[in-house]
Amino acid sequence: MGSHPKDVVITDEHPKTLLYQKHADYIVGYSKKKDDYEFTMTEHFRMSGMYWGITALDLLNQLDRMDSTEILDFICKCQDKGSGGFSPSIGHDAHLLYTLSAVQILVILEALDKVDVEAIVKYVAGLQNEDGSFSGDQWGEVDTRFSFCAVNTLALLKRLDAINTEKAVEFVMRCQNVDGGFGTRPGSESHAGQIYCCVGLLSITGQLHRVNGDLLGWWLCERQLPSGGLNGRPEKLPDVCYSWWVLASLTMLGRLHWINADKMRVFILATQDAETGGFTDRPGDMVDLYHTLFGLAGLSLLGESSLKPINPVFCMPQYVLDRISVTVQIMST
Amino acid sequence: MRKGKIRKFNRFHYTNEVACVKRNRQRRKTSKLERTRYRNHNKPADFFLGFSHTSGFPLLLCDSFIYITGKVSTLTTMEDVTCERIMKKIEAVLSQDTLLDEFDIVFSLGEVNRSPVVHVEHKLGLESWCVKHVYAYAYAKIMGSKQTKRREDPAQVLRWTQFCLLIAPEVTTFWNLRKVLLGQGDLSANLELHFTRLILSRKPKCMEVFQHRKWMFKNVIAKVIPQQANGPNGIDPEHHNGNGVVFHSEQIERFLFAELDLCTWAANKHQNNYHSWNHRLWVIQQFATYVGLVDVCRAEYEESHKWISVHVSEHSGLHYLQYLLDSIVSLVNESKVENVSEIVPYVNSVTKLYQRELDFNRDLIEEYEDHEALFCHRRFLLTRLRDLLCSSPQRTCSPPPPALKRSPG
Repeated sequence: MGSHPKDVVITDEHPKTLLYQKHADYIVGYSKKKDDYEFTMTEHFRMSGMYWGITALDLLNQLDRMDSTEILDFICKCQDKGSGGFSPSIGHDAHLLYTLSAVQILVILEALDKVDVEAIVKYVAGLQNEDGSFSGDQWGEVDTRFSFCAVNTLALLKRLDAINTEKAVEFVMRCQNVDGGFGTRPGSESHAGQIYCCVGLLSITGQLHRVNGDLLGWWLCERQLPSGGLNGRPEKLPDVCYSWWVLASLTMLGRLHWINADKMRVFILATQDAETGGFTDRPGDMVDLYHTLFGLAGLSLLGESSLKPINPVFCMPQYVLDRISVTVQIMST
Repeated sequence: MRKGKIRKFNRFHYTNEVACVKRNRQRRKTSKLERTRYRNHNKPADFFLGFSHTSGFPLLLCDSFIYITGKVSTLTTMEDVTCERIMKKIEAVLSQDTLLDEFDIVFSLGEVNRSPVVHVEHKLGLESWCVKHVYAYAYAKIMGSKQTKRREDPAQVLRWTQFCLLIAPEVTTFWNLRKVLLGQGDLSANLELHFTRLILSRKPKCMEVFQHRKWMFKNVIAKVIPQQANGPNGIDPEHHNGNGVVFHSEQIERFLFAELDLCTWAANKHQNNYHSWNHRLWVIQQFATYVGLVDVCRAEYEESHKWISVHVSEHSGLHYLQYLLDSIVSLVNESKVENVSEIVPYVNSVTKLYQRELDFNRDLIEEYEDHEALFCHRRFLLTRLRDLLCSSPQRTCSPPPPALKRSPG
């Protein structure tokens, strides 16, 4: 294989240790900042933003710093009375992406009784298509991400019986490529984010045997670059969010040890911002909640003892899944 | 390239522009509270669109706070007019200049004594100082009308969403509003196609734009025509697909060919543009449904090789070729063509097709060293050839359980 001209250089100036408290302060600070332009510009994915922040804070063992009453009040206002799905923010349109985020937060905060669960189940089931795929919302866009959102949501609600899981699995398998990876739709290029979604769906539904772990595991560990960072497709730059998509997929495939964990750790730690707290996509960029969660989640998967263990499929703290007795399938090698 | 365009905008003198936006510092008196709020403003938001702390625009920043928080509404009359005027100007440029091919936000220090809308050589620029202000106004308007479920004038909703989507095309709620208006006939498909293309000139990998165009194809352009609208004799410019369903075939073909050009253009604008290549795959799938694959595969096969020869590190382009190869093999296997040579000249078997591809790939590997994408593609070719020669497809699944276990509950 060739060398990697598209990589980053990690120097002595980049952080080498986990800036634990800085991250917690960054997340809490972010959640209180509600009156600027950035707040409006991120409104269309607010629900997911909240899930990233809450999960990250829980991994850092400081969930109690969030105002759960305010959060739950917001979530309740985002459930669409007509469809049952959740919108990213008040006034926006419901979508599977934000329905999953809302359910994840509600499960973490043990507050499912605050919303109409039956309506959620109906919403998700109503978005399954004839071929087993899922549309993201009423406008009909199909993507394996949405399949994962649907199955993930219903697994957390323990209502997988509401959909045709066999067909959902069949559709996902139609999206597999010769390289062992998965794309957004049948014929689409393999992409580490989509692979996480598809492998996650197979894990939840107990169908991981349909994947050749060696073939896919090989493709996944080829994502690691000399800097230790992972990219999502061949010849792309490394990005800390792939330390989640790829590491979680490898964990489900029982092959986490196929990558160089020490170098991976160095890369993730280098994406911290020592001044503001939070993680960036690559060393030196601007921090955001999304990369902060996936940076912490990646470190948790690698065994960082100061963080709570994370579940590789649901991207939620393991204790939460234990509490509701939801299990996932992991390949053993 | 983008920086070059921005410089071009900035060099432009606005001799013909009407000075419709007055210098705010002179015209408006702002309260001490507002000025304090500006000073306390968090840093990241200032840098959101590449702005930096420079004199001139701070007072406008304060205005945007007011609109976002919705706490102050008394200062709005004059500003509303200004916001509407800026949006109307953009709308006029978009509807009148059919050759408009580029949009971007142009950095400015906040010289507000002229229109922030720059239109030159079929390019549209919007000066940065006004973005936050007008966006906050239009956003609040859209949300206000959505929440009160008031029946707004469609022209207004179109103008507000047009502005917001130029700035933030990721907001699907705004696209959905436009879908409703497209469905009602309040918005022309051609204008919308032009508008979405303009957005791609600034954000060529914006997934929501591609999704919107796909929706338009299915629901507007290739919409099934009711049989009764077909005239008494059934004589039509449309196409029957054999199942009694009627389509505007010419319109469909025109759209699909233009869509291929759009994908090439977007792929050239952004390296490894997953969404543009994914869209191209979708276009090919529509060809299969509405037009037929043979001709388009022949043209695309050639086009794809030209592209790859100058983009050896882009796996997306190579993946597209893989999809074409699989399509060609399917056409042969399904006897839709008698021989591969009908699509690829001088190649008369599938095995030879793969051999030709391996040669093409080897030449590129020798010429351009160290490209992972080329090796990944070679793996694909070898796998396909092995499956063909050995008739034993690669195992893509694991041994059956007990190699699997459930996590402890």
